[in-house]
Amino acid sequence: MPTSPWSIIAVYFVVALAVAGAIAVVPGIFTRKRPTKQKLEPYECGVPPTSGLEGRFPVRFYLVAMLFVIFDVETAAFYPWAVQLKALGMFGFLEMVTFIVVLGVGYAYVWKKGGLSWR
Amino acid sequence: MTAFAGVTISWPALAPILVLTGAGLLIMLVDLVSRATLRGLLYGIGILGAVGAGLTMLPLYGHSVTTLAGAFASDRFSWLFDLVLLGSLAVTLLLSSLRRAEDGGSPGAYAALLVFAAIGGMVMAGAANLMIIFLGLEQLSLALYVLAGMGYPRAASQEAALKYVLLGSLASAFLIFGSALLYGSSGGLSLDAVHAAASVPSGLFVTGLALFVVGIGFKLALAPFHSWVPDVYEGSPLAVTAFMAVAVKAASLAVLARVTYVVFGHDTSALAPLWLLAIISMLVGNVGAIRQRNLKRLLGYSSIAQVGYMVVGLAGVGPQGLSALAFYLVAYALTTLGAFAVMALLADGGEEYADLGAYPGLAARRPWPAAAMALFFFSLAGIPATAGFYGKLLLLAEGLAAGPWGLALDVTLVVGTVVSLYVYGKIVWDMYSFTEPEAVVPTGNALPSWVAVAAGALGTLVLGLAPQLFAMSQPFLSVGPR
Amino acid sequence: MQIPPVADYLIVAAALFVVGVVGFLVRRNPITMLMAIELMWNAGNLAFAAFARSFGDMSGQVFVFIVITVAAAEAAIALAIVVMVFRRRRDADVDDISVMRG
Repeated sequence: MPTSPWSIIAVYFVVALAVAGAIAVVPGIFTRKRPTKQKLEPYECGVPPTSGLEGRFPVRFYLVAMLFVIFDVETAAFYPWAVQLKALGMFGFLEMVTFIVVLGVGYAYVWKKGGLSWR
Repeated sequence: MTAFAGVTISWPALAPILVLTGAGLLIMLVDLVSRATLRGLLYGIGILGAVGAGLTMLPLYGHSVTTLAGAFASDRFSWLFDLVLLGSLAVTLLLSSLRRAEDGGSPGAYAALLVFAAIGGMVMAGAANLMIIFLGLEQLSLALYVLAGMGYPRAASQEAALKYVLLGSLASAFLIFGSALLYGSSGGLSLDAVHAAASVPSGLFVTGLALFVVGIGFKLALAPFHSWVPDVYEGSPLAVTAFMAVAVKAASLAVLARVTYVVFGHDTSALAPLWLLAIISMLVGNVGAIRQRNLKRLLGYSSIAQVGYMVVGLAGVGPQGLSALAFYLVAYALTTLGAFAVMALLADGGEEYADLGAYPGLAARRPWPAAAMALFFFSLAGIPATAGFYGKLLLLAEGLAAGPWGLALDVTLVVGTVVSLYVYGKIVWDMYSFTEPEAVVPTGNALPSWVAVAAGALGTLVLGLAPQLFAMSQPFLSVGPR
Repeated sequence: MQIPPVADYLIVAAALFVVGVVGFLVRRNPITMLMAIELMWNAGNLAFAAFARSFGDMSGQVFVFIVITVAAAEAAIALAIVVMVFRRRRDADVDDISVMRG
């Protein structure tokens, strides 16, 4: 009956969707909503919550994470070059040196401008 | 020429980009080592870099070189677009040099980003490969997302950056997916390979091309993909807006023109949707401009219409059409940069002089800036003796030669011009008919802004009075060796 | 098991792309919108990789590589801009971000 092994996945997908949909929809039909202040509070292991959720956290986390992502991905360019180092020869080497210099200027810029300092 | 693993590299063809890259890196290094903020020096390096890159372009004129395994072309076509990009870079740096508020207190980052954005545009202008198109576009866009937000203290600038980055990335997504489908239908990334697939268009090819055009349409701000333009133009720093209005349009048009020219050759029947976009753009841009009270927004709407005009040049894809497009692009660049330069001149480092309520009566107090502004508006509307007039004539001729769609484009162009006459005419009328200025008299008188205004005005007049200087007699542009 | 034909990958890629478009249109939180955009970029990546594999051609894979690199830079810039807007106004909803109108 199934012509492709992938039709099984299609069946699974449909069943999963149906079950998830039923779980999401059916309770709504049978329940009545009577919200109270206590019910609407965020659940914090039974302890009354001490503060709202909108507290800020320091931007330096973002900064470091973002800088990491950029330089991390840029260095991924080294792998294919390293694998083909011999075949690419001197030209490939100089090409990569150029790349590193450009990347290095950016790195120095971030460093000097205080992007890496943990304050 | 350097040969490497079967790939030849033509260094002269890449020289402008390399020179400009060097200038950008130098700006960053100087910004690092200097204690004081040497605003003038940093911008000066950028301007010198643009001039240097322009000098390395001189020996390239008239030559067609394809380099980097056919991925990058240096021909008459890219030559002209490079010139426009370098010019807009230099003018933008000139205009920014006095506006402390524009660069958010970090002139080094600002100038370097502008230089890198211009490089991205130059990469796009010569790109003959889907991957190079994407790379150039992203370099241009990523730099501009940041620049849009660099007027940091103003909330409008932050908004502009957010809107620009969200919709710009959306556009890039369309471009990537479209490129993937084009690759799938043709088996290669070069435009030549895509050209081969166009002869027997498959569903994959058509879908891919449609998505690709949507992506470029977003960047070009063709209606109905223009919704971000007014807010981004209003919120971005003044000089950055000028750069967006010229450089982004020029680079994206270069891509669109090269893709249509290389992929479809002279058979443009498959491009009907693009003509439709151009028609909508001309109407939306001009009608939308009517009710604007902010000059930056107004020029944003105007730029939507102007891009619509320029697409008419593609209707009869061929050297003549590209030539008309290029002439109009140069005219548009001169007038738009000039108009922004007048705004910068009047503002002179203070508040942006963008509110149209400040313009009535301007001629009585500041006759020369008002006259220059009037000239630029006349050129944008297409009044005779200005560059814009001759550009529109060339475009109309192209439309006439391009069958029923060309006729429809021509009619819309004329209708749009009439509407724009009202828009610009009203401002000029207000500038000259009121004798008492309603607002405070602007005192701005900075030399760099004057230089930019004068250059724009001179170019607009020269191209308007002696268009033959542009070598219209023979096909001016050729897209490199196929 | 055999590698499925390229059409299967294409269906998944198209589905991803559509999910991204819908996500971008229905969500009003800029970070969620950025995630939707990432989804669309990666839909393109998947299509590229599948085609490259079926053609036995490296250039498609190189494109994927480039897209990943650019996506990192783009995400960093976009997040930086979102953080900048956040710091001024505590919440981030694109409908509220409207100093400009017209």
